[in-house]
Amino acid sequence: MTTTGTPLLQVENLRVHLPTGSRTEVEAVSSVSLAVRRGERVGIVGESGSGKTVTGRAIAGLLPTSPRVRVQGSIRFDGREMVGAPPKAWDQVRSRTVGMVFQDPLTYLNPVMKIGRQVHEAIPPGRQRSGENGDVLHFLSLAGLENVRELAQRFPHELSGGMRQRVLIAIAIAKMPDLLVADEPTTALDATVQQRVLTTLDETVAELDTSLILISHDIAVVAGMTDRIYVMYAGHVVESGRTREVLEKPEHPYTQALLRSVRSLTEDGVELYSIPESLRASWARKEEARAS
Amino acid sequence: MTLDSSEKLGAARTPDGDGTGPGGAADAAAPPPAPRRETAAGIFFRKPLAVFFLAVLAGMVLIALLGPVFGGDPVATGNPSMQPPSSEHLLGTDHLGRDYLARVLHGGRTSLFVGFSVAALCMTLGVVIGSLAGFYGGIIDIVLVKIIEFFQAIPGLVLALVAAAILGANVMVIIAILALTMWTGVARIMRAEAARIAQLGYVESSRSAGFPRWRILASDVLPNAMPPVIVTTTMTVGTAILVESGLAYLGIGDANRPTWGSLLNDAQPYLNSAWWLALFPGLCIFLVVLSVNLLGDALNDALNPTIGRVK
Amino acid sequence: MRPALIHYGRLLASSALLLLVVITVLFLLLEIAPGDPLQAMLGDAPASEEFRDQMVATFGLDQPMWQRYLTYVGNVLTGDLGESIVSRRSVTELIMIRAPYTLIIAVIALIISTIVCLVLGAIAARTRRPWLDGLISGGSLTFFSIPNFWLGLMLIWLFAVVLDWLPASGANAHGEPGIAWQYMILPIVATATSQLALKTRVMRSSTIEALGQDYIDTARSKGLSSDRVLYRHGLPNALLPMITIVGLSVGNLLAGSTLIERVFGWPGMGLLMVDAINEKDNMVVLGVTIVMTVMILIANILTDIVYGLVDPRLRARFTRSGRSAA
Repeated sequence: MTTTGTPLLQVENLRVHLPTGSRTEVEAVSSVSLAVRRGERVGIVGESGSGKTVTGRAIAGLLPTSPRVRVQGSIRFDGREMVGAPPKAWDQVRSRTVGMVFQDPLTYLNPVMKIGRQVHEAIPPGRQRSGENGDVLHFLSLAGLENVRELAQRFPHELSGGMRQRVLIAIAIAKMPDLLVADEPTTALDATVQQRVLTTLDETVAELDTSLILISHDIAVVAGMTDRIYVMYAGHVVESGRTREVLEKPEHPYTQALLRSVRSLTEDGVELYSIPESLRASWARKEEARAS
Repeated sequence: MTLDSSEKLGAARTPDGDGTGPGGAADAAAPPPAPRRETAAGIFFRKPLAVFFLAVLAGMVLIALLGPVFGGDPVATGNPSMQPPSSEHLLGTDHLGRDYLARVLHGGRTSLFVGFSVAALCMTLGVVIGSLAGFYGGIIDIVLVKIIEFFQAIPGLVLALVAAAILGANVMVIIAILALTMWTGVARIMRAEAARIAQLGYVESSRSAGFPRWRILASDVLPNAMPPVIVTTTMTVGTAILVESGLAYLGIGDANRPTWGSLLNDAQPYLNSAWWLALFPGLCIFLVVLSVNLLGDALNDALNPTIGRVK
Repeated sequence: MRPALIHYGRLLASSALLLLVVITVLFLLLEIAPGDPLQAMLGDAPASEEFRDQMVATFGLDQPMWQRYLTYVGNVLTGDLGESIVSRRSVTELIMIRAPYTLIIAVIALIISTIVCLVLGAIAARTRRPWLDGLISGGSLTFFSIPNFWLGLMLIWLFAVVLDWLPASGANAHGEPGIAWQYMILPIVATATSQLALKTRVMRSSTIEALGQDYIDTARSKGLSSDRVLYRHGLPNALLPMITIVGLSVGNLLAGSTLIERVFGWPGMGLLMVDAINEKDNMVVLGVTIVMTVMILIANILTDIVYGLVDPRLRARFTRSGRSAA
């Protein structure tokens, strides 16, 4: 792994405001800095509401397009600044550089379009290799699907949840992206299907030599698949480092609590740690002080 | 449906019936609730247009109630006939020399009465049937839904026209016919709301605590289902006034109680010479219906706050 | 194939049942109408003693109610809608003459309003210019609130009286048969406007709804331009509910034809019905109502078929046994 030169993705002091009502808004991401090098796999963990999904979407350029969504800070792909970039530049990044695997396979496929066409759309013009149909079938099989020829003619409602998630993976890799952002890719699936889809994701990323950002609330999922990890809480990155080191020697109390809650669930199932509201606020203040 | 979607539902709609959850994208990362939430009244009264048309509607209702007292005698014929609007007769006079302002004011009385009565009847009928179906479920639900579907499927407007033509001539009969053909909108919404609320945790817990069903219905379900019901009912007022004036324009209605619609019916032969006879009653209908519809829209925005368009 | 057969069998059966219920309601309405049944049927039309006797015999007024009911239903189902008391002509024949006039206005207004509503609704839903959305939404709410017969009167006043560009009333110059195009313009405009207002509102919210769905994110993640996202993913999904709305609007169009045809003296079914109401020619009123009901039911069935063909989730009805893979 090369560590020299500019990283593939460099995020600095990312700050995202989302509207919550006609006049109210919330700071969903307060201060996030992270970097992903070529071929590297990075995990983002945190509870729901920690801002991890919004961070992932900001990186993939998929925040709501409303003018009231405010993104500040810096997101650079290969040194190219994307915060405040024109829509055309983002279209290009989305069509070639970054792919996204979404959380809910039931709602992220267009119900009135055939699977084959939905995958075909994702292949950018310059990257077709073996004729359009061949490419589509190739990516469908790469995502671990079988009978792809027949499958391409089907509509989403005719597929199971696990199959649909694989189709979403096929769509995300069809552009052969430099970076894949996977947001809770298995949360909506049955436990048995989860593991198989994760394995597929693992294999495809390895085969295409793509960088990966894996976003999950489930430390176990992230632990097995990533080189480095960022722990997010209340819109801030509270801890980061090599995955093993962070999980073995967590420094931040939130990471410790997160790990304890996993253990308490898996081992004795007695207690579920959660963090009191008062602590949240004080951490947020501390983070802010550190950032400025 | 998966567990996930039911969670989303729960997040988008808090038990007090107005959602604060931002939809779609932000949902998965549900940010902590906004520190200060606007009240429904606050959202409503911030819209100048909504306030303006609320005032227009209130003014029209007030004029319809009090107007005839000040507006003069609608049947006095002493004036010169077919006079265009002037300072003496603000809206002119008709072919019999009657003051048109007085006639329009009187017409408003019946039109508004019909509109509000029909809406009130629709709301009563819809709330009763919808809440029974949605809250109790089971066989009651199946039967009531069949009834609702039937009333939706019949060509209501055409039948209302025929029924009014055959039975007509009485304001009360027309109100009853219109309510019968228009109540299903409220009923469907009420049913969906009642079914949704009956599933919520706090209703289930009061049920398991042994409260009688009717009390849960009255104290938990009905109050929380009101916002969308009120919006739909508001819109019903406008539709009822439009349909009533249409019927009156066709000559169906109480000949002794002229409404805006029947004034238009009388005005048509004089379209060539007396434009004001056709202009003002229609303008009144238009203003009232527009106010009601705008009010409905504004209420909808105020009572069901959503993130709006974020994608 | 079987699920499709069962589905349409059911649809057809429930439509037939509805028609029967409508006929029954109409029959009962006549029964409970004030005055004796013969009077209700004759209305205010002058009738000789001889004619009254003839009517009693024709309608079997000496028979018990249920028997008259069966006769009436039987006649209607065989296409015999009775006889006009005023003109003494067959009601079926009268309607056959008038129906084309109503249908031509209805069909043209339906087509125009549907096409324009799709464009305006999609623009209002997607535009980033608040004033444009405000203009379209405000305009549709405004026209939605205008009684369309009054709009018709105002159109006559403006274009026929003040400007003298278009004829005020009728379908053709006096004595000429058929329809002259100048006569169609104002009725079509008045009819299409209120249709357009309602449909634009629905199309706008339907597009907003579709563009808020998760699969739009997937489309954006492919790097498609926002136009392609709209045309390939947003609109096809936004159009589905519009099929239902357009189908439902047939009922409004036919009921509204009574008003519009009265305004413009347009000799269609609506005017036939209005005149019959005024002359208390009840057999004609009932006949037109039944024909309009049948048309509405046909429109409903067509809507259902189109929806089933367009939505792949329902298309399974035709191809496979409606399965959804587990």
